[in-house]
Amino acid sequence: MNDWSQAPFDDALIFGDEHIILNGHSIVHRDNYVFNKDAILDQLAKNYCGQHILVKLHDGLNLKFSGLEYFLKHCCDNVGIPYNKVTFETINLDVDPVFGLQPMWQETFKHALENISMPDRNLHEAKFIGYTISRMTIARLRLAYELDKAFANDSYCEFGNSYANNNEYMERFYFDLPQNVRLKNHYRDEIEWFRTKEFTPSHLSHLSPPVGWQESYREYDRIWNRFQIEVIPETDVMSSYYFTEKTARCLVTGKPFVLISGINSLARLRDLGFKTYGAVLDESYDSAKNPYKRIQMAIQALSNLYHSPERHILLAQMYQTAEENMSIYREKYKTT
Amino acid sequence: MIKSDIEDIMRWYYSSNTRLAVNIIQDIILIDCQVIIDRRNNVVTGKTFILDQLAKHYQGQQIIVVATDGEDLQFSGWDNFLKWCCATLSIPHNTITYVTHPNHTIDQDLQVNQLVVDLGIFRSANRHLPIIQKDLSQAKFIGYTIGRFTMPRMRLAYELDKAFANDSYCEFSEVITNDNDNLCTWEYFADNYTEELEWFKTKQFVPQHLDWHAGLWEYSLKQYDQIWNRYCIEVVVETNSLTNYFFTEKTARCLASGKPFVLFSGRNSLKNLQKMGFHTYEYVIDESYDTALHPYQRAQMMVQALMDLYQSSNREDQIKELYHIANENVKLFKEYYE
Repeated sequence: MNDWSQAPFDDALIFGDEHIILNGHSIVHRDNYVFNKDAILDQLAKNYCGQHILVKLHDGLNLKFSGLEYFLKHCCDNVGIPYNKVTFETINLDVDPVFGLQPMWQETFKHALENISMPDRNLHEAKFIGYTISRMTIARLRLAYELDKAFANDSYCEFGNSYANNNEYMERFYFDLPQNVRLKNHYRDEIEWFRTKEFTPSHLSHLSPPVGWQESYREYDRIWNRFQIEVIPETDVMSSYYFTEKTARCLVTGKPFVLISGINSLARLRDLGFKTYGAVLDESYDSAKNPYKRIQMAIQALSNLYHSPERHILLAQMYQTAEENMSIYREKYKTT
Repeated sequence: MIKSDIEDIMRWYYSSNTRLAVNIIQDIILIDCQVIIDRRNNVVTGKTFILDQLAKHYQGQQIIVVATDGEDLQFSGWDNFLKWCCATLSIPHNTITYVTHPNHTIDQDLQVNQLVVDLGIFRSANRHLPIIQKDLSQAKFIGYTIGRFTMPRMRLAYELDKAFANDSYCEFSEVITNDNDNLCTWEYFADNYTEELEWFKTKQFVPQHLDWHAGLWEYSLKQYDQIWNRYCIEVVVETNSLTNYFFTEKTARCLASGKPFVLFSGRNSLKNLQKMGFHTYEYVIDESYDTALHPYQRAQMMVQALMDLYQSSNREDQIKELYHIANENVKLFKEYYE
């Protein structure tokens, strides 16, 4: 199996005598659907003759909500591939047990210590919450819109320069895409908000592609002091297993956070040994079944904290917990 | 909800000239699959949008899912996605009604209601079909026309051309490019389709007799006399190669005009046509291709069945028999909606 890692990354399907590699990044879209299904089915039908199939789902590609697992079952059922001949190489541990699983860990998460710029702490000017958003998704738009309604005067947000410098960018390059245009009408309020919102000039270069996750670590000190609690819009709000530099930079620098990711993501972080903030903040949002509800509940929890007469004490408690996470992270990943 | 209520809502929706993915209409949520299922690629786009909208607006309403343009609700992943929505938003399955076509079998795990509507294009075929002056003296053995490009269609065309290059008539309306659809990223499959793509690039297609730019299905019927005499048997390349219930003008024009055909569509499509009362050609052509589990196998089996006929010493008589059956279908087609 080791030689599979040497396979070309850009080909969707690579056929060998004993193995077939299916590269997830060529077939799973970030907007959570599987494309080129016809071609995959056609190729498997033409070339499958008992090989093992390795499905490489690197970079946190979604397995369930994208429909990939369902689609591969269809392929197996119709081409005559035994389920146990298919193995997923993925961070997602929730693979249907009829398939094989080669668990992997998200690399970007592990490399915070080598890349992070530790901040000189000074929270005197800090807003209550802060968040940064690069690639637009509907959950991120929903989150930003709802957060701004709740904490307009006490929040810090950065959108990628493409968005921040051009208020119509999102509309033109997101909602006007052919696959999204018929949904645009449902988001008139959010689009109007975005159009008229005065964004702060960006302090981060990594929000504007192609600059990557390393810069997210290196530049974190530029914004660390601007807010007390980070609201993390993780890459995939439908996955409970995908933690990127967005979460890691909070853990390694001791920044308290709320996490907008898949259901039970906080529980998963706790399973990994980290502390979360349930003693101070109502973290029941973590068990919300969909992103909309999760966002509403997270904002309510933040609002409760915001209006608490003991807010400063509670925030201090959160920073104590965050400090513990710094040690845990160092201990856990010091050798990587 | 009763059938007439749903029909009223459907009439209102179609007359409103508003085609949105999710429509909140008083105590109804109407989801229009034509807007959210990309048919070229068989994917549900905008799943997070729909989930967001349902999460925001769902308060126990009835949900109507309209899939009346042949959308594939299974292979696209729609059924699976809907199950997800039901589970996460606590939507009872029995408050959902699918508006679909005859013979559409719904996923058994999804206990939704079903309202069946006629195949609209199929029904109106006779209105648009011209009178055809039949003369097959110059006809090729097979013929097929392909509008929208899809992978199974290229597979079929490639295999047919390998088998019947000198005795087939084909029209292709689209050229493969890497950017003709941002969902269809061919560069990832370039190594898998070198032969097919090379064939497509170098193939000399016949000058077109159909005005593909017209684009609408009515023209496919109105112009059918331009090509009817050019081949004996039509290879009908239906809209969706995986569904077996969506028959369009492509099938209708053969039935209505008496053209024998083989059908490249989903598994058991011929069986469903038989259920609708039409004759197929199993006494002359091996129609076991209809039970093939996937399009690749179907294309192979279909080509083999056609080849057997092509190489038969009795071919002319067999083709006459095909036309005899096809002529019976002309009568059956007229009667079908009467």
